Order: sequence, then C-alpha cells, then structure tokens
Amino acid sequence: MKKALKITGTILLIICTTTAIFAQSSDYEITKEFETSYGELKASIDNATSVEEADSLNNEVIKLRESFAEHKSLLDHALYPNTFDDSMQDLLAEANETEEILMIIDNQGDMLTSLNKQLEAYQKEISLLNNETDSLKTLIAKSEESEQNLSRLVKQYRQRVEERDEFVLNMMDSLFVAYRELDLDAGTSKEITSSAIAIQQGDNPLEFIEATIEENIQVLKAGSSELSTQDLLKMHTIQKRFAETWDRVGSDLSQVYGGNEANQWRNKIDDQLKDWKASTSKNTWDSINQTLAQNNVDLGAFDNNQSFYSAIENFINNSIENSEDKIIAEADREEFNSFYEFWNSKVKEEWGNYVQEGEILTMSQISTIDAELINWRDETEPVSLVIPILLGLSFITIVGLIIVLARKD
Amino acid sequence: MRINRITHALLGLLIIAMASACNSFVVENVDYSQQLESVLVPDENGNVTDVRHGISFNVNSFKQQEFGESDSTKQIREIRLIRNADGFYFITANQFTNVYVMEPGKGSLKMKKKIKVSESPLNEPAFNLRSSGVQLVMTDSNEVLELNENGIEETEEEEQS
Repeated sequence: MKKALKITGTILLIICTTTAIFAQSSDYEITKEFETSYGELKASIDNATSVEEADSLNNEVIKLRESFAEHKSLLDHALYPNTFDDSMQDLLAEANETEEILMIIDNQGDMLTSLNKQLEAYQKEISLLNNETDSLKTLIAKSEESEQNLSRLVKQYRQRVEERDEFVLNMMDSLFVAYRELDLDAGTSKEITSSAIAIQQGDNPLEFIEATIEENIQVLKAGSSELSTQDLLKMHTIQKRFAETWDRVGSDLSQVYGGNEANQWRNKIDDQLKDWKASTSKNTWDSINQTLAQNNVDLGAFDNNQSFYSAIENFINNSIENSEDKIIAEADREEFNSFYEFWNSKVKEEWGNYVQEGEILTMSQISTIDAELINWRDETEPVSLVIPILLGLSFITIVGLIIVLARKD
Repeated sequence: MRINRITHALLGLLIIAMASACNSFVVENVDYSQQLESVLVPDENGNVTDVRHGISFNVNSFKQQEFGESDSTKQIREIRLIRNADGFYFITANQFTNVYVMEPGKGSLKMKKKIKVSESPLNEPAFNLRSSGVQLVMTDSNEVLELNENGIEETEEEEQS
C-alpha cells in the first residue's frame, strides 16, 4: 500500500513537473526534469513488487516517452553519449523484464503456496508417524521387557523345576505315608485333621499343589517357544509323576486338608492336572516334530506316544521297502543317516531318561526300532559286485575246460 | 654579383611569403555553439569547472563586476553559461541584472559586452540556444530575450511596433 502510494506520487510528480517545465521553456530544466522523472521511474521499476505495479509503470514509461518526444534532439545532446531513444528503450525493456520476472515470481509464489501446503501435510504426516513410532518404540520396549521377563521366568523355571517339583512330589508322598500311618479306624476325623495340620505346619498343601500346577501351566502358556524339547520332556515326565501321585493320595489329601470343600478341591486339582497334561502333551509333541523337521526327517502326524511309535515304525518300514529293489540307494542312505542321527543323538542320548520315564517310548518299543534300523541300514548298504563277478568267471572257466576235454576225446 | 644579390633577396622574400602564408591558415565556418547551458556550482574559492565543455574559471571576478567590491553579502550559488556559434560565452547568475558576453583569449575570458537585461535582480534565469542565437529566459516572468554578442536583439514584434 505504501509502495503503491509512492509510485502514484512519483507519477503525479512527473506529470505536474513536465507540465510546469514546458511552460518555463528552459532547456536545462527540461533535461533536468527528464533525468529526474527517468530516475524516479527507474527506481520505481526496480522496486516494483507486483505485476499490476509493473504494468502501470510500463504505461508510465510510454507516457514519459511521449511527453518528452518533442525534446528529443535537446535530450540527445543532454544525454550524450546516450540518446533519448536508447534511454527510453532501456527503461521500457527494464519495465517489461520486471513485469515478466514478477509474473514468474507470482507463479512461483502460487507454486510455493501449493508446496507449502504439501509440506504442511507432510509435516503432519511425519508428526503422526513420529507419534506412531513413539508408540511402537514403547511397545517394543515393553515387548523387550516382557521378553526379558519371559527369559528370566524360563531360566528360573529350569533352575527350580526339578527341585521344586521333586519337593512337591516328595511332600505329597510323605503326606500320603503320614496319612497311611494314621490309625484311621482308631481316631476320629477330628484327630486326623489335627494330625494333618501338625504335618503341614500352617500351610494348606492343596493350595501349594494347586499353585505349582498353575505355575507350570502359566510357564507353558507364556513361553513354550523358549523351552527346549528336553525341557518339555522333563515337564511331561514330572506331570506324569504328579498325576500318578495325585491319583494315589489326592482323594485322601482332599478329604483331610479340604475340609468341607474336599470334593471341590479334588475336582479342581483334577481339572488342573488335565489342563497341564493337555498343554504339556501338545507342546512336547509339537517340539519333537520341529526337531524332526530340523533334522530333515518327516514322520507324518503324531500327537501321543502311540501314534509317535506308529509313525516311526511306518517310516522305517516304508524306507526299507523303498530301498529293497535299488542297487544304488544314495538318497535312501542319506535319509537313513538323518534318521539314525536323530534317533541316536536326540531320542536315545539327549532325551533318553525322559523318553523312558515319561513313557514316550517303552524299552520294548525302543529295542524294536533299533532292530528295524539295522535292517534298514543293511538295505541301504552299497551292494558289492565282486562275488557275482568271481562266480561268473568260475563258471566260464569250468565250461571252457569241459569243452576242451570233450574235443580231446 | 648584383644579380646574385637580387636573386637571394627574391628567394628570401619568397620564403617569408610562404611562411606568412602558413601562419594565416584559417578554418572557416566553425560552430562553437553549446546546445545546452551549463549550470555550475562554485567551490569554496569560487572556481567552477565544466568538464563536458572543457572550461574552468573563477567566478569572483563576475561577483565583483556585478555586485561591486563592497558588497560581500551577495553570493553566487550557481553560475549559468552558454556559448554561441561564434564562440562567445554568455554568463549570468541568480540576482544578476546583467548578462556578460565573454570572448575567450589565451588563458583568459575577456568581456566583450555587459548586457543589462533587467532593472531588478534576475530570479532563476536560464539560457537556451536557438537557431537565431542565445535566448535568456526569465522564468519568473516568462519573459524571453534574444541575445547576441553585441546586446539584446530586437524581436520581430518589437521591430514591427
């Protein structure tokens, strides 16, 4: 606005002064006023900031040229070595150039506005993504923390599982023994209860048993992937022993320590044991399957000890059948080696104790599989051709001798 | 012997004539006219220089000539000069009543004519050069005087009147 007023003022000044000067008819004043008007118009062109302004100034240049055209020869002399025409041409070119530049700037301004809007949108998006990233980082941190907790839990479990479960089993056994030593016939239920309380010394063993089973179930739910097959087999074995012991003493323990809720306790721990068994079983068989896959052995589907044994048997028998008719059985040999490695190093050596104790496979089943493996190995042994060749050669020699002897006769 | 002397004398005269002919070499129809008056601002010592037209002089002489020795209050802020086709400088300034016609000499300007152009001091006078000669424009009154080195020319109107 201020600039527009200034330009308008300049234009008015030019018009007024030229009118006044022509009345005075002083050549010197005419040239001076031309130079002043020219200079101010040039400065206005240089400082123009809008296309409209530049356009208006362009018209003013034309007016200035028209106004001073009659003094061309005087101005040619005054502006020497320049000329009036050259000066006006320069000014007009500058005005046009300024107008063009301002038009470009105007267009670029529009583009800039558009780009700024885009930038703003991107910034919002980046801000949004940053927030999401922060949330994800928090989640990752939590997840890492949770992972660390899980690893710690598994580690603790591994350290404690044996001693604690052994302790619980021993406790259950000792409670059972202590209970049996009580003279149930002689004492009243009151006496039994008081004796049981003396054994437990303050804590209810049913609660302890319940907590132990629950903890095992939670460990399986939270971190089964962190547990090795050996861990799971161990847990499977413990679970089995736990279930056996509970079957023996559960009813009596519930009666003695469950009080009025004996049946509820019994049922509750029964249910918990079923859950534990199902969970342990599933995770154990899945883990064995994964280990087989890692050893390139495909036994097919199995989800209990019986189907596991059947799968092994079928696998070996099929493999033997496949190898029987082949003279060169390189692939079969590789398959045998993979399974043999798995069987000996994993099943028998690494997991051996738990496989037997947990009745994954019985001793009899293991022996049968060993025997079948020997057959399979024989079938995949490279066949020696030396004996057939020697026999062939012997036969040819005998036939040759017979023919020679017959000719002599 | 006498003939020789005459011959020598004639040769000498011939040489002198030729030499004098060389000294009087003149280019005619020279136009000294300055299309646009120069407006010069004196420095602290009164010196003015017109770079474009190649002249430099001191204005104090004009001040004395115009205002006299005694009047030191009058100052020349700017001096105006223009040259006509014959080479005479026409010089005046604000508050002057005269136009000085000066003839350039060897390192000097010699007053050819002092033209009384107004009874009252001039206010913003200006020179123009026209085909007819030098014009003095008195801008306050819009009066125009035609000047030459001899004084004010009479206009056609005046002549007619």
